[in-house]
Amino acid sequence: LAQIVDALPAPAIVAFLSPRRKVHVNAAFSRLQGGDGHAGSPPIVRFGERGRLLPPGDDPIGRALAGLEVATAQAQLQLRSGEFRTVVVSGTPCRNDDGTVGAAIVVMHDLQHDIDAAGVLRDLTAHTPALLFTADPAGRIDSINARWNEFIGEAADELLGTGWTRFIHPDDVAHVVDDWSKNVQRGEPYKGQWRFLRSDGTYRWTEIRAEAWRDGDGAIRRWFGSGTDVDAQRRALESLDFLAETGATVAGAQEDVALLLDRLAHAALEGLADISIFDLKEEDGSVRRQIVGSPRSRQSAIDIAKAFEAPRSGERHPIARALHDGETLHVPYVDEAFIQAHIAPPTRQAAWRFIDIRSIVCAPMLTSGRSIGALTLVRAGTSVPFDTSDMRVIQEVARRAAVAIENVRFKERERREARNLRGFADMGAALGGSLGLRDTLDAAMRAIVPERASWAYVNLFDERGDLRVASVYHDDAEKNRILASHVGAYYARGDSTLGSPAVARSRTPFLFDPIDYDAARSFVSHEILETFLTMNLGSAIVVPLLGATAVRGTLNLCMDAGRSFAAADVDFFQELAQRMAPAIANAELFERERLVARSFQDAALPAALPRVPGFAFHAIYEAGKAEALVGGDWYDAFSLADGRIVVSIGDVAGSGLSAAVTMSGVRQAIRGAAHVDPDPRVMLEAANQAVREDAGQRFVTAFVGVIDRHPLPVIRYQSAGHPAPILWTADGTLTQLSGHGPPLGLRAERTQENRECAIPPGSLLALFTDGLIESTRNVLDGEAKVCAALLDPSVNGAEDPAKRLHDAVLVDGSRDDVAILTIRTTGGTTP
Amino acid sequence: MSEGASYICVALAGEIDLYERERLDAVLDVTERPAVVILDLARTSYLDSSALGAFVSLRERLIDSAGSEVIFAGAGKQVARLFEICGFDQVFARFDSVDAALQHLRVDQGDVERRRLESNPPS
Repeated sequence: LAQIVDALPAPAIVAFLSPRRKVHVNAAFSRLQGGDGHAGSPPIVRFGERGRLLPPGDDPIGRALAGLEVATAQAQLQLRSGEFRTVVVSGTPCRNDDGTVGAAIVVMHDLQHDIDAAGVLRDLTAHTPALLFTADPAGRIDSINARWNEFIGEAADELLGTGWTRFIHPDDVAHVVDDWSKNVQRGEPYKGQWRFLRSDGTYRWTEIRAEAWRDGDGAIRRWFGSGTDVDAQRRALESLDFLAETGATVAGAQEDVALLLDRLAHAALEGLADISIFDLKEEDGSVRRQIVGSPRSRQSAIDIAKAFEAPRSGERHPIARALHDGETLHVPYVDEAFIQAHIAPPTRQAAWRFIDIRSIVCAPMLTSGRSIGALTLVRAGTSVPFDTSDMRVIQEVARRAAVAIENVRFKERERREARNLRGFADMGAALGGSLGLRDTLDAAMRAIVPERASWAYVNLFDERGDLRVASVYHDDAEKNRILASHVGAYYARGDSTLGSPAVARSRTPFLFDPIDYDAARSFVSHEILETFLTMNLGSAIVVPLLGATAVRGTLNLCMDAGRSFAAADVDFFQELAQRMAPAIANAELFERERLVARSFQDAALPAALPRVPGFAFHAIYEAGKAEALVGGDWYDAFSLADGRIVVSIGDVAGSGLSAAVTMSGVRQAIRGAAHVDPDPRVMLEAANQAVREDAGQRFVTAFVGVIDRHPLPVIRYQSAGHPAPILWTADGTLTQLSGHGPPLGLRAERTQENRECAIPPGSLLALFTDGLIESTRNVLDGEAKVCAALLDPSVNGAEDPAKRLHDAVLVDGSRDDVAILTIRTTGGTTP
Repeated sequence: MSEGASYICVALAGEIDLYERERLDAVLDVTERPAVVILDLARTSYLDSSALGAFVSLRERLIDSAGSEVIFAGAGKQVARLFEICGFDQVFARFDSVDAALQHLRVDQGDVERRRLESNPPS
């Protein structure tokens, strides 16, 4: 027996029953076990399982000695170093003449250097339809197993020698032969995928693995090989690569994830399974299930599968473990016992039986270490069970699908964020350019419509506490016109416990889907409801609008029937409303201030201009379009008791209430001084004092003049940095009443004497503020325009020359405040 | 050159109006005393009354310390006309250029702190 063992090229031992378990080992075994094994020390052969030694009676030697034939089985051999090494063992009892076992020969094959080879071998010995072959040291096939006949057909014998090359796909044959022969020369373990011509005339991807069996001297005696049909797996992975590429560029959205999974199931998994089930965790924690059946599976089975929701966390079900615990479950053989033990609800058990599930793999869809779903593949009826390599492919498909889905979701999130930011930016820009409440609301709605809502409107509480339509915006011009006719109209009772009033009170956004028109009738204006009914309104989100201190009203976003709001839009609208709040508060403040400032200005401008024989006074004041608030421009003209006329015009830089207050003070100072001492210099000094007493530093310009009517009209004047009035006389000449004094408020010597200018009968003297000459921001150009206008008979001869002058110069209106005062002298000067 | 005075040259470019008021106030924030501020208006196309107000305000802040001054330099036609209209010529010295102003003040370029404000183009 020892001689037989010594002759074997593979590691082998012979063990004797008596003396108790004495062993003889061959050279190959000594090399495998390692260490020089002190020449004299008796060899010890022990096997283990999961890192622990087996009792001698249970190990392959013990079992062979007990008379059992040990077929190729995996075992762990203890090396001299104490470590274990995975080997495939076969044990043969050797019987004495009387039939009793006296010894056993155990042959081992070392698999540790290629754990995958072990997997293949295990599959070979299990249920995988494995194709086995052997080849001589030169790589010529010299034996094949019966499986090849099923695969290649009757011609299987033609594989022998080098005949196999005729069954390789023509595109592959050159490099396959080259690859194989080079490997035979190197003597290394071989692994390659070849396309073999199958009996049905199709080429199937077949994974070929082979290993050299060597003799004691290390020379190759034989090649031992196997082939596995990996066509479905290979196609799955190829499709997956394709999907991964397209998946990365898919244009996002929920539908795209569904599309991705659908394509994945059809392209990649159809060959692998009868039914593919994707259970995908949504961002809100729910699980979305998508089931795709292969064309060969029964429709009724697919329908049944679709009738079930994904199992919940903690539920007794294999999918629950993959989905929620991230475990992979591979059940090659599903039988009644398995169903009883692993499926809890009786209805599900019944479904498993109906679908006739035979084999199942549940793989978690893992990305960044977290399970975002599970991929479950089912083989039903007479299908071949899933083997471990199928399981690995399915795990890989699940992993890559998870990555692709994450990419799609990430892109979707990114796009949503970008869209939100753009929305806020659009609105921010719009709000920045608007100060009135109406402008603010319009800007907000234009940021929403039509991208996120079909149309929108705003309701604000009126002084009685009811809601009124403040603003509306529809992208469709005709519909916008119809809706706009309701602006300002009563919308709903403020005390209603339903709809917009309820949203305003609770300060919480609400989605109305569908709209309950019957309920709405009880509190919404009937006219408005009638209009809404023509608008194809499907659903609405109502968001409260907060002002500085209280709820001001609601922002109502409307969606046409057939379109629906995105789930994330409610958050966007709420954020939008929050961002609108300061703008609304500003608008409220602005409206209040504008009202007060306006009152001041109205009070500041003279109620009536002097009515003096021989003179005609005209004036115009226009608030700027671009300037947010009323400005500090003024004009004034009044008669003194002695018949002299005082005129003044001026401009307080800035706008708003405080400018109006300063302006009012300056004007009053001029008036007061004029009644005491109608000397332009004195009047300006009084104005200067008023400016200096004003808390804020201001830039104030003013022109003051006193007109003597006798014997001929003459004006004595002073200017404090104010644009010079221009006198047009009937002979067609223009004269500037230049003053050149510095603006008010500056501490400077005012040494200038009053200047004088005659105003001949039939002349026109125009006083104005800088708004008239600076509207184009080109003061030279502005002055030229004023001069040209004054020379124009349609202006200097106009009934209201102030208005005409304004219109002639400011064709497009003014962005700044403008005040103009004109004085015309008529023929008869003496009453 | 005045003994111990700080020399600050502020270049203003573009249209300086209400929208630039904050930035204008920032570049005109001069804490040194005495200080001579030269406003370089060579590239200024427009000044509105709020900008003129800022110059007035600067002058009022500086004027109490002897040797302080606000000087305009390099104003173009438009700006020159604005100054003429509003009577700035009565209270502010004006030079054709910053160099001319420095020459007049007998100050070295190196002793001048430079600041600038570039107005945003109107939106």
